Amino acid sequence: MTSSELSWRVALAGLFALLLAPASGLRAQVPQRVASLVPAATEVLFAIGAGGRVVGVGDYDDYPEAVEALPRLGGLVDPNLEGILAVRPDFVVIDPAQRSLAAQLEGVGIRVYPFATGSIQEMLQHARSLGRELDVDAGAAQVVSRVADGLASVAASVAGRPSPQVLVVFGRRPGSFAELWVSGGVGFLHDVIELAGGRNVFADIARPSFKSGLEGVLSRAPDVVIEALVEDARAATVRAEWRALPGFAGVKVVAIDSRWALRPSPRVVRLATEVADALHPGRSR
Amino acid sequence: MSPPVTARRRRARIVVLSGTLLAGALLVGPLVGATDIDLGAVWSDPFDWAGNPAAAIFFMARLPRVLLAALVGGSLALAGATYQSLLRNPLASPYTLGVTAGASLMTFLVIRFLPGSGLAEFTVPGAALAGALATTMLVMVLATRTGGTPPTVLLLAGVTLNFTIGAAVLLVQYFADYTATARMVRWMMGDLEGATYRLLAVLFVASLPVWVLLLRCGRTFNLMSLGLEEAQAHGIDAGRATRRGLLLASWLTGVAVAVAGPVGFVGILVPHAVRLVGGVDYRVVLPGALLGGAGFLVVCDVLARVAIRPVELPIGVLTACLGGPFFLFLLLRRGFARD
Repeated sequence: MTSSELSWRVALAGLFALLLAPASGLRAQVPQRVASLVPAATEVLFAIGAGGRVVGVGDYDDYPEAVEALPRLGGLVDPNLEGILAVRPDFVVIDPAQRSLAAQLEGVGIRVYPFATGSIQEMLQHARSLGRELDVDAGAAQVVSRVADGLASVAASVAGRPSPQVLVVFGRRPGSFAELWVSGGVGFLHDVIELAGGRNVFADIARPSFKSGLEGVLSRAPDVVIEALVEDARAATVRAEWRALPGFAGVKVVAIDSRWALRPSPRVVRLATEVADALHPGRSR
Repeated sequence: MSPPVTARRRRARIVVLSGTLLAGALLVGPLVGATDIDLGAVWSDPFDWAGNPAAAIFFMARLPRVLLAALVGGSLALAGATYQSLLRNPLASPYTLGVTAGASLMTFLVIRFLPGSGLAEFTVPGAALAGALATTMLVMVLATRTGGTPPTVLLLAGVTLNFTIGAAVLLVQYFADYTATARMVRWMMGDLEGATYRLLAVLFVASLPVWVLLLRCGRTFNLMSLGLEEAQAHGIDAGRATRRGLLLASWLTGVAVAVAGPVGFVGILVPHAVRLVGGVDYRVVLPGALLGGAGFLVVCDVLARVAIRPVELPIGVLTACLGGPFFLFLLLRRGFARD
């Protein structure tokens, strides 16, 4: 080996060392103080076993119970930057829409994780990558397989049964059928309906939600109406309102709790089970 | 004397033109919608809504909505023409004097503090109407206190109230939760849904006498638009006529906004379009605005329902998108031709 050859090798080795050093340094720095402004992400964090490191949550977080004791750091449109900095996080989960917040946090050297709420698959993907980031891969893998198995068994229990036509309503003007926002053929709730053995009446509309007129709803003639409600107390009224519509007298009306059911989280198995029970009362368990 | 004859002929022409627009819109409006229904089936058993979905769609989802659009559009355009005359300002709209701000504030308070209340069909409209009328009274009181009711004082009082109440509106909105905020934003875009025949009957009874009273003001408005002295010289009590006209127009606006939210642009665009076609005589402008506004809003609503059906577009956005270019076209053609 000539000396020039040797110096080349030394130089290359040095270069490698330089390249690897920061990477290995990052790997060593697993985040210890996590703030989450996205309720669905908070649920995922606790489910995968990183809950003990959560030091602050968003204004709308309510699950699991442990979040009640944590500092509130603002909501989607009004994140509280001072509050976030005050809990000294080294890792903050935000909504991808919170771009200026991301820039501000990254500016002071805090790592930011954008959590996009979308389909069930996206939620499971986030569980895996949060598991990697926070070094709880095993917990994440467990959550992913638990959710996948749970959903698969719900799907199996309704397989081969006739699918009722389902209308999913996110909201409307109370006491009226104006401002009717419904689920189209993409998104979390659509996925759940189809998985639980229903056919979304608006499956052909490629939007997660849209405003339909009364005509659109009347013409699609659903067998089941699933309406997201904040107050359980209104369930009976809501049922009567739908059944008073012409042609809707025999329609089954199911109220789901909008405080958690619209949130793509590991609790999706419970939601899918509830919906499957409603759509197929006699399904095999 | 030829002027009265041409005035009458021009009025006849405008009434026929705008009346044709309205009649055509009323005829086509219920025939199209989010779905294609068999019109033969509608008439085969028109009253069995439960067993005949085509009839339910026609009589429950379409017809009341078309009628509501006509009532709201006509009222807003007539009110707009009145404001433009009495405030002697071509940019005046039904919303200039803070009527919408007042209606919005009351509506938002209801949405914020009484979500899902029992009498929902009438709570929001009732609150909006109360807010609209309270604001108008406030403007009048302010303007009268500061010496008569000259247009500039009224305008300034209105603009100030608009800002002040607008701030309160934003504050209520800021402290509302997500769903309530979304409902408020949507209300601001205008909305012709949720019409029932009961609501239409109430609306019609509340509007018809005011239409008649305002339509009879053409001559007065003509003289007032020449200036207060001119009007006074012809024996018109300008202050009284202004107060009366503004109250009537605010009532119409309040009623329209109460049921449909602040549908934009109709009140400013339609009267001007009528003026560009038929001249500045208020005996022509007022009936033209009433009929034309009604027809215009029905057309806009049809497009809102069918453009990307079954998804619906907000009506306020459509009035501006459609009306804006059409109005510019009229303005450039007629406006230049006249100069």
